[in-house]
Amino acid sequence: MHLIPEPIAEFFDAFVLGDGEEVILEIADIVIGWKDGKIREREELLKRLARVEGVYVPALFNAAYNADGTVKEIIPLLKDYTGINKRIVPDLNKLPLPSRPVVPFPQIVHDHLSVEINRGCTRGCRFCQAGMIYRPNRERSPENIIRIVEGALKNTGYDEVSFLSLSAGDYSCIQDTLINFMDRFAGEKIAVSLPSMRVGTLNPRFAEEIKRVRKTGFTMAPEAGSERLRQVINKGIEEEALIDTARNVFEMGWRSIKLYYMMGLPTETHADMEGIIRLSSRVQEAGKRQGFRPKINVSVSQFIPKAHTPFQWEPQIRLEECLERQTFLRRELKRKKLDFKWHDARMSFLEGVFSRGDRRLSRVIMAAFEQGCRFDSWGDQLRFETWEKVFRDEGIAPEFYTYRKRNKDEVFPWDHLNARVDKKFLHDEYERSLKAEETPDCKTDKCSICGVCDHKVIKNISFFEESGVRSQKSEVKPSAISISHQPVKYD
Amino acid sequence: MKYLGHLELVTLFSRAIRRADIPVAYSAGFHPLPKIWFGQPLAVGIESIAENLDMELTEYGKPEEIKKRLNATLPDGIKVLEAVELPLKLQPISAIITDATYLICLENSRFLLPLRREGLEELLNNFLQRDEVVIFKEREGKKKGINIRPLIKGLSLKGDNTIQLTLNMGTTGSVKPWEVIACLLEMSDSDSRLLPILKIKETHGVAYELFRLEKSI
Repeated sequence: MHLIPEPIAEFFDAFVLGDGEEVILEIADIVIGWKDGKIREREELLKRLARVEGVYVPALFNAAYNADGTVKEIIPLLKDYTGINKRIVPDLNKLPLPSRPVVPFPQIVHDHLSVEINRGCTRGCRFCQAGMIYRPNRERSPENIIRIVEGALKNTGYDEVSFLSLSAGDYSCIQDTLINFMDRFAGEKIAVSLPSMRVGTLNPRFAEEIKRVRKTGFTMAPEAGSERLRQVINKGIEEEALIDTARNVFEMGWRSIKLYYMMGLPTETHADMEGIIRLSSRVQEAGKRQGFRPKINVSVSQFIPKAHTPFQWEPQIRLEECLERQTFLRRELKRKKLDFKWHDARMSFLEGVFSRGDRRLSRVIMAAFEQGCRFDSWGDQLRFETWEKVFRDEGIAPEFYTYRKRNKDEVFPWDHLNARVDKKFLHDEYERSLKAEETPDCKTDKCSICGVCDHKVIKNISFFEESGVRSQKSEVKPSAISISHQPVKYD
Repeated sequence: MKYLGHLELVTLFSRAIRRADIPVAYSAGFHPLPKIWFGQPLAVGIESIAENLDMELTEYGKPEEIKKRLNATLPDGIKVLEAVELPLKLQPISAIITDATYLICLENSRFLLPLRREGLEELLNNFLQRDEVVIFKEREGKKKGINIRPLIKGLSLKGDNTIQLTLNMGTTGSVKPWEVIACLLEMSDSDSRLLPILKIKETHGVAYELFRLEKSI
């Protein structure tokens, strides 16, 4: 899945846009044909690859630029290869999943069995690239999950399973699945972890299970400090709901909470920054009322506008501005005895450049590499001065990519790479954001007509819980499987 | 395999035991762990055919059967050589180890070049005749001298270019095989660490021989 490949387009023959499971076999067939000598010319190989749905061959496109540096046109070199639709696997349940994953001997970062329970997210947060490019929302059935886990645990010997999802709490029957899982595997001392969890109403049994598996801190992501700004980004969680959740979490026994925010969001003012302080203090207060001083980590990263999102037209805040706001936050949070975590503003600047970059940046990357840049995202390895120098040498102003507000009809370097979310939908969302208008989650509410679903093959797939929580330990009943299909309402 | 750390080896065994479906007992508590215990942790880079592993089961299993099942799920390079049944109440192996023997191969090593067998023998004898051999170890930035002579139980030549070294595994101080060799042949630790070392024997205070694990590359 790679939907912003342009800055590295010069280095690769082909990219896959979208879901890889099916396309990888088709690619392998073609490459085998090439190895066997059935395809002679390299050019022929690339053309064959280009014919596979979801495969992007950058060499088959040229880019023309306007005098102001913006893209004039992406020129296809083949007549019938003018744009690439991302590949979609409509139903995860039809995918065979490797049941014998490689088990490493040395310790690795994610040293456990990982099972994707859900792909995509339809909450529609306007800053979020993943939420746009992984659509539609496709759940794996609870039975399928248990079956996969059962086989893979036996083959690997792992003692921990991680349920992967952009937001595990959005998996429709997470409670049932988790409780079934614990009933089935707790005896074998298998632990489960949920990398991202959204806590709303908590069933006590479920809360207990989460508590058992969650040993570390608890993270909540208000994203913005004020209700107004949360409406702008379409993450309309009310402050009172956040405080309720915090209270819940403390009651369940956690003593620390991490709060995740962004700064530099569109329309942000100083009042929104103060909101971060206020909201974080209130969370701390909620703990104090229960008679202890909770540890509150306030993590504030810089918002970076991403391609294929409603905010792709927006400028990013300036590096100096970012440093100023960090200073303000550091001072104020310290005063309230809240811990502050931030990102290197220079790193965010570079990230901004490459997040909406075009293929002219390939030169810059090559030059930076030649001048010694390696592992720059490891904070201590960042050679910002080298990057600055390389941009100067190559005659490319990085600010062009970060600080510029784009016109509505600007051609983007990624316009030929179709994440299937309409550009018009994205711009409408952008306009709605400025009016703080809500766009509901299309999984539970009406279709927002983003353009991804055809509502026949490609659509949201959910497995709703039968009747709250199944409390009986004995058997794993098949749940009533209903595939949600939100009819299109053209209103 | 010899580059796996001790904890990685523990994890490797826990997983192999699960794959083999051996009814291992688990510790109680918040984070249950399988009840397996190793002897002295094997230093990274050393091969061994003399590792011991103690394992508690929830139900009886024939040692031969357990060995067979484990070997079927262990990766290449790690093998159970022998399995025996032990009484439940025994001291942990790590507490009853008295000494361990290593072979250090100098063949093809540039450090051997100036020495002939006789030269090497003389070097060993001189070394053994001394009452005190002090080496300096760096701990937390401070250099500290320790006398390693009492830690050396045996030191001899095997063939033309292999040194056999037996180290006391007491409670007072410890020394790594390559540190002894570095001192003996006047090389740096980083050079002596490159020599192939094989642990061939572990002696225990109590008659206590169970799993011998073959550890090879």
